[in-house]
Amino acid sequence: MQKQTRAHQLRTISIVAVAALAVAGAMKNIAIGSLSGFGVKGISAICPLGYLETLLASRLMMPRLLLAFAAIVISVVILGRIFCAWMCPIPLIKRFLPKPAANKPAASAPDVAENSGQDFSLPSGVRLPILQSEIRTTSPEPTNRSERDTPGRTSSTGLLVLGGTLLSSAIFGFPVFCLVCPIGLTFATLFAIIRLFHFNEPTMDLILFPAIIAAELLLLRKWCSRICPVGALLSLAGKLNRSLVPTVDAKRCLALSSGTKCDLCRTSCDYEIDLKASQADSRVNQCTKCRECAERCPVHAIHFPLWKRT
Amino acid sequence: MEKNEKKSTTLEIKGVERRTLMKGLGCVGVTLALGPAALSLVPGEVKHSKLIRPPGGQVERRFSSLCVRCNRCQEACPRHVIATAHLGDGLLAARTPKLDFTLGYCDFCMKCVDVCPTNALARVDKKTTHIGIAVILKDQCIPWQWGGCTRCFEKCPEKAIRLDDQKRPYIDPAKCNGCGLCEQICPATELRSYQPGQTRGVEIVRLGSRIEA
Repeated sequence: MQKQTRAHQLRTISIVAVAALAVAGAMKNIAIGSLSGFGVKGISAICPLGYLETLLASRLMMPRLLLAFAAIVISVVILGRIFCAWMCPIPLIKRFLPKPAANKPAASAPDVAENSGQDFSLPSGVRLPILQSEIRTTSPEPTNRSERDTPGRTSSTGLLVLGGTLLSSAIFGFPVFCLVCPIGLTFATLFAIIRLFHFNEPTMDLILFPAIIAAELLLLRKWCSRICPVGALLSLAGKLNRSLVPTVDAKRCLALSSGTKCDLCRTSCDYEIDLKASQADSRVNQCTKCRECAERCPVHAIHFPLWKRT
Repeated sequence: MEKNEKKSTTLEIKGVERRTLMKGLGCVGVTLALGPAALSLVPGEVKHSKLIRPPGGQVERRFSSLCVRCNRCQEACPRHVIATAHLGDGLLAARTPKLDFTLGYCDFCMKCVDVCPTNALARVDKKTTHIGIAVILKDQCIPWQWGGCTRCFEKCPEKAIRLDDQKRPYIDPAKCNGCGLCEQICPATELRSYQPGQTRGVEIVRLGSRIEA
């Protein structure tokens, strides 16, 4: 079990605050809504995927929402996919679900010392904020995986789900993904709990909604990086994002400067973005600015500059 | 798995491995199948929905194409008449707003319409629009069984309930806009509590969904 980073705690607070705002809005009848659609009085914005789905399902333009959609796209261009790490409740829920059993038995895991070819050593004068053993234990797994799972491929399934969802909505005439969206179902569960106490309204939904969410996240472990069409849509807009892009200082980075087999930035990333890879790797558009890599980096080689110099 | 990987060198499309491609196609298949699945879980759901929608949501096909299940209408309703449809109402209807007249009635204040982001709900004239229509359930209605109660007749804001020569209520379908006040105040379940069920002496139903009992 890894120690929680500061960014990790801040993210938890941020996600809980978003959910608390929605719950307060529901209890006080302010009608803030949920992440599916939120706003104050007549000013409203809806989930960008929800907008595209209803647009295709109803074939109505809804200019007011087009503006909101544009505003969301622009905010993603400016800030990147911060929604996914700082607002969406799913990463928080995932933490409470049982972790998968170690799928690689200890016997088949290659020995680190044998595999790495070079012993793990630190440049002089660098102090490690975390245990050296942590680096050793995390390194063998990615070296196995990187052979068949090269960067640049993981986002394609998310985009296919996005395409399928939009096509399905256009054909059948209702927003299809909304029916099973774990984000929407999370808020639906919260609202069902409120109604349980407010109107004494017990329903099976209180059990079924969490069951659907759990089934989705347990069967499709990489929901956020490979399935979620909302994230895929945001990462499309994220291709234009140039600010707060994680950047590696090659002089400090252990892997780049001394060839050490350190892969902590990649393994700490939910999207397995390899910052050490060459510029050809364009997957950085999936970055959710969770800051986990920067905080896990033993030599603080990763930072998030306001503007990415090319 | 291993077979797929062997073939992957020959079947690469724009750098997408065959295995990944199959997974992706599976995802697309599932999302495409979700549409008809939702429609078929409750047969004829869109056409014959029994749910009473808030103002402007009466055309079910239009409503279900626009509602994003954001809950804002429910939160905005000052009379708490807007409840949430459950999974029991069908996968497609789950989480959408429905009117529950045991909790309140609709006074057409249009607050739900104003907060609806997608215009799934729309401003309507309460004189010309029927969000539903009241039906007297003669088995439950106290005056139809014994006589004496005229509560709905007295309270109806549209004067859509009339009394026949034996002081039994009946509905004027031209005037009833389905606001549901009659259902909310009907004392049948309280006074006839030995009767099973939750049904009151008057009930709002969708227009054209049932012939008057």
